[in-house]
Amino acid sequence: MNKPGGNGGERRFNLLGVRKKNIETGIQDEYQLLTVRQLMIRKFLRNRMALLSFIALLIIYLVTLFAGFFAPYTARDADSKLTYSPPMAIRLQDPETGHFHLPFFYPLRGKRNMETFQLEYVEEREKRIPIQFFVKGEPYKALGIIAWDIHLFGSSDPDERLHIMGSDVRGRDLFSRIIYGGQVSLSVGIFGVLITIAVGSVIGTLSGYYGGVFDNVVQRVIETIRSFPQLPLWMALAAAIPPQWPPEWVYAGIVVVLAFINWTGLSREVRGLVLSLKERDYVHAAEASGASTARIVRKHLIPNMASHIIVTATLAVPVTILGESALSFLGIGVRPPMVSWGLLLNDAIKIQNIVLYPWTLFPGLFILVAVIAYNFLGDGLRDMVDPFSR
Amino acid sequence: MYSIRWTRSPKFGASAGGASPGIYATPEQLETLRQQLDLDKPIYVLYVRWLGQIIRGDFGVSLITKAYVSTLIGHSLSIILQLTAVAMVMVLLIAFPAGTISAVKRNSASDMLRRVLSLLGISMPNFWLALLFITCIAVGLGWFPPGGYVSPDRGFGPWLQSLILPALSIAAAPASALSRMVRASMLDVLSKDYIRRARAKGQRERWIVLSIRARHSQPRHPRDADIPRPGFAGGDPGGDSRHDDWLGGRLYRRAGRFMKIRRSSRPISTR
Repeated sequence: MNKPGGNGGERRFNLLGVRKKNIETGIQDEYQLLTVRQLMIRKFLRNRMALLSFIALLIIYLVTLFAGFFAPYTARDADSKLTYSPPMAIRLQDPETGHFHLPFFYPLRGKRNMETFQLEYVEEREKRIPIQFFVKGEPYKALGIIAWDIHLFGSSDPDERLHIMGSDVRGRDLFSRIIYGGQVSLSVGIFGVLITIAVGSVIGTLSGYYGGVFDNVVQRVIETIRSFPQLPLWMALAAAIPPQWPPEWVYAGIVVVLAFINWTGLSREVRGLVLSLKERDYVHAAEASGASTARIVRKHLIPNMASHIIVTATLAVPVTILGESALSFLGIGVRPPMVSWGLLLNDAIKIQNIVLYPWTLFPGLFILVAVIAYNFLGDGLRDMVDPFSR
Repeated sequence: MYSIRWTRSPKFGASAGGASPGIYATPEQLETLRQQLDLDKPIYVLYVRWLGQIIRGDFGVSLITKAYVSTLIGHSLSIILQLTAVAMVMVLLIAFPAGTISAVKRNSASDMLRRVLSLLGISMPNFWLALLFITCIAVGLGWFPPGGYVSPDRGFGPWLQSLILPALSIAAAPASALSRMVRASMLDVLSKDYIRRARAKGQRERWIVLSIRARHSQPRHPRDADIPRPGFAGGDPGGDSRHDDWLGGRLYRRAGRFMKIRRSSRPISTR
């Protein structure tokens, strides 16, 4: 809404500059013009949800990066006494006096119900186990190199385990597994999108800049790939990953499979941008003054496309995360020694499991939060790239 | 796509031939089975023959159920089509009223609620949503069966009941995205001059809104409103934007193109 004159004009002017108070007269009459970059930052900061999402994502990534520290247990640390234990409540109130009490929990004791043959858990009220911060626990390797055994929080008694989100079939702490699973789920998004950017922007630029036969072939290939429904194509490709591969290779394979569809969208966008940019006067001027193609691409095309690529990439991350979790949920994604949010949800694929152990649905909540945050962030960035729009 | 899948089928790996007769099979038995399954022929011969069969509609026999694959596909296809139809009706029934009401009652509490819900709908993995439905609605409240399919021969009610939850979990994402688009384009149109004129003329608000709904609300570029997400179904054959991967987007865009033509004569007649 950049209509000149009237209200629109004034509004636009406010957006372009900051009103400065004239110290002598006290009247706000001076304007300080902002650069485009300052405008963009301003616009982004004004978008509360995007900013909040950005901070939330930073926190989530930090937590998963230092999973060993933030998770009370390691991902494979099992306890056969507490299989499928429900989430344990963290209590802050003394039940007798009703006053505040430092965080503690009641340990759960499993008892077989002789009528239904279900293992039922009851809190042992006599025993109060305080929750400690910076507690010594299972040894782990921070960032994969530094051996350490301090965890952010945990049960003060190593024999009484604390499962704040319940545990799975082998008594492994679901919360810890979710944090470790985030490493896979969230990094798949990042790596998948890095491949998408690399392949998509290079091919998009080439086909937009040179056109001709190459462009034609590439566009037909892209159309062929995109005419398949996304998930079945992912499934077919994921099924083509040899089952005898080690889990790390499977992980890499899944990343490639996910990027295989995503690059097409990005390369189309980049091609469109290049087509319009290469007709600009400054590109013609550069060509006329004898600049090499590489230089034009580096100096004129890439800086102009960077923001669009970043926005598209940000919005492609949640798609990749959802794709990975869908594949792992169906059992054709990452393989078991690894943990991912989708793989954890695989526990809930059986209907009796979600009815008896509804806490196995918790990982989905984390997928939801990550995807929402990325969507908000992408929305914010999309507005930011175009700082003159209202 | 089928070709990729084929490379992983047991026929392809010659060693997998041992799976059917069991682990105690004698070498002679294995040899007979290999010959039966044509595993002694080179791969390209098998591949070309297999492709030929596919073209003639012969998808072969399932190794597990021993039934014809084409019958298996045919059986599930009819259910999928019914499910898709119900889901599509749901998308339209949810998205258009929700988007319109949100636009008319802009920034009200109910609008905020609808916007939050639509955002949740877009971001939620739909397999997870389905699991939530099963736990909360099917098992918790017991309104719908938690699984299975009832054929329409056994009555319309049970049939619809068995389809509602799965259709709703499919419809949630496209309905959310479409309702955002409807809201955006409604807001766009409601701020136009001819609407102000109609109000000044004393037209009833209800009439204005409904008549816009029918004719004027022309989508802005789909990018304005929606957020891309992977769909469990539906591709994008040759579409020029990755933003309309889902069913609703294509439908709406087509409708939009049609409306654009009608719109061109509109401002003249209202002025």
